[in-house]
Amino acid sequence: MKDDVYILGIAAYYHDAAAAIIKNGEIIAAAQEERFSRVKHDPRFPKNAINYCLEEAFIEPSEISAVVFYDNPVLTYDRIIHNSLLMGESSFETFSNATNSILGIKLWVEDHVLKTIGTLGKYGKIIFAGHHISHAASAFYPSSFNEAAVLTIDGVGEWSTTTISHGFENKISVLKEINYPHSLGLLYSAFTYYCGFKVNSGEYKLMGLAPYGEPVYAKQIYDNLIDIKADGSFRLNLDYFGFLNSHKTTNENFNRLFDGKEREPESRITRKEMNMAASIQAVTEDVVKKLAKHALDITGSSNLCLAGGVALNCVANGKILQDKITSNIWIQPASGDAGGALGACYVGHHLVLNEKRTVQPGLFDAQKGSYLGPKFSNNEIQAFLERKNYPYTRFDTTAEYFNELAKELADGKIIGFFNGRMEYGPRSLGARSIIGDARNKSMQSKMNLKIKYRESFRPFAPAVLEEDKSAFFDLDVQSPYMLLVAPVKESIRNERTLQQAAGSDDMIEIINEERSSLPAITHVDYSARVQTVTEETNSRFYNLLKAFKALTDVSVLVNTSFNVRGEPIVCSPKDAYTCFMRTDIDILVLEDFVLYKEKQPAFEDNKNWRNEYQPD
Amino acid sequence: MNTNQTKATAKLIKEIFDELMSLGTSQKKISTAPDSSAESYFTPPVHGDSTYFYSCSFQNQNELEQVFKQIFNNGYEHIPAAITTKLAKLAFLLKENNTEQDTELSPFIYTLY
Repeated sequence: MKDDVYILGIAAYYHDAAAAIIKNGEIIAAAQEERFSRVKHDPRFPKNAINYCLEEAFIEPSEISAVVFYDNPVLTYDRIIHNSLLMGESSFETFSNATNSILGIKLWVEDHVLKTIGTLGKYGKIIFAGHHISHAASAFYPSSFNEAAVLTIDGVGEWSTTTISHGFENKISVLKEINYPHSLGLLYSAFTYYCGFKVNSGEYKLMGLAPYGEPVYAKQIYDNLIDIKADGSFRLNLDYFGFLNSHKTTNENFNRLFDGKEREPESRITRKEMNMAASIQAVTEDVVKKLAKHALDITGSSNLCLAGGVALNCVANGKILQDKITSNIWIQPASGDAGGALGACYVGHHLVLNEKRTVQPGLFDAQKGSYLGPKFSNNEIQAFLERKNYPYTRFDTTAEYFNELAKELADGKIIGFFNGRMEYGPRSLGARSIIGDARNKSMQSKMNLKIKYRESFRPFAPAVLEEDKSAFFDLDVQSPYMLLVAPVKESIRNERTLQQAAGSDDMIEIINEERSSLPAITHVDYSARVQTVTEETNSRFYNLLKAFKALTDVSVLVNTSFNVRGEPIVCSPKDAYTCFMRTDIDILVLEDFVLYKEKQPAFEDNKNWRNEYQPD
Repeated sequence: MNTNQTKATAKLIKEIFDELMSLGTSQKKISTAPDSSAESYFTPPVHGDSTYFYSCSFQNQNELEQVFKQIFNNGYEHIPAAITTKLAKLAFLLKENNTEQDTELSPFIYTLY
């Protein structure tokens, strides 16, 4: 009888290190290192995530068939060499830093694996998967498509920044690519930086800021920064960017083009940043739609799979649906580098070991709701609470439990909801979530300022029962991973009464305007980043939504990540309790246990905890 | 950290960089501006099988040098052997210098208590 085939996939050293493990092609576990180390976007070798994956798989390291790394550092160094050959003496600092990093650390992943688990698997040597093929694999193999066009777009891997592939059965063939330095991800990051947000984490904020502005700079972008062909391929004009020979994405030419230098982080956001955000978002959507259409055309497919950091731009993803480019779309929830760990597993399994692929009929996908991290049993949680003397309530029946929580939500309470296996990817999906009543007009402000401690313009996203999605949103497809933005239904919108003064940059009055009967999740352009919830993938969260609906006739809740700004999403009950006590969350739910803030003892905390987390 | 080794690696990095500079600019691989005459900016995959995966193990400088030669010279201007030899030597020196992470693994990997 054939041995089980376990593939361990690793992503590390750039940002968002992670590990994943699959068994005979089925995902067993996947997690980002940051959740264990409590360092946001932790790039370091993911020892903790690897050990978690092995524990979850319940195997010894000797049972691993192969270990696959999601990047080829030698090919990346090839790019560094040619970058220096192009830029000459001015690139010495970049060359030196990259040399230390790649030849000193990234090249030696084999040693780090051996130090952590003592083996390279039965294959006997490290497999370096291509970065973009790892992304492509993470998008195609967990989908339910036997065949699909696969589009990957990011900052840069080794050389590729964009690839179009064709996935068929157990194989992926890369058909076309765009190479460094021409990168949609780096272009978007340049604007992220210029608008005063942090590169690699602030792109999401830029996307959220865009609806506040007008795309008045789009023409300047098209005329000066990027040339886009009909097939979606593009080339940047590097005269305006600094990343070829400095650590900055922009340069003086960029500043001159947009009349001034970059915004200082944490300073007031003005109309200029809103318009810059709107402009780059419009250009990005244009490119993504053209690329998607071209990918479908050249593969002859009607199915589209997406991955790479730019695939986290859920507004652009939503436009693919709205423009009817295709309605058969699957996006890897961990589309950034963390997802490369899972993709690397599949590269090992299907492309290296040539194992067959089985698509389960009737399943939405093989990602298991992306609940792939650790869970904690009621016994473990009870032991934790009693050891710490944290008072809790436990209800006699599940009906009482859900009814009580629904009532508290309807009364305006905010709940930290800790349930089941932790999510894999940047979004909270009802396993490590902060939830609230979307009908409540002060919910957005309260959550931003008193819980997340983040910028007040940032919108919140809704979770809705799958069967009710069309009642609240113009959305016909399942959206379990919050990767699609859809308009709020017209029937629940309020007419805009606010006439903002031309050129005004006062966002607060816009934020506080009630744009629909679900003001907390309706963005300024009436859009929402929707999560549809089914009983199969998350029964506890589903039943809570049902209980809330029974009470209020509305099956929508605000669902935001369970963390404060700059902190990774919580992993353990201890992390959850700490976040609960550091914020204005009213109630903490740890599986069956309910904790009320007013009953908790004084919390002994590190007084400087706010300095622990760098604002992201 | 051994200061002598750090100086040695810094010196070698500069040496390698200067040798690369003496090659002149490499025009083939990187374009920096749009081309209005082009119909498309897509290319077929340029790195052959490395696009998908590459498997290797290098226990010594010579083996690493072979890996460098194979990947660096895939279809483009050759990087001279003298440079790849130095790069392999440099990589082994840097490996000794750099510690990426040395914190102990918690026995409760998700620190329950």
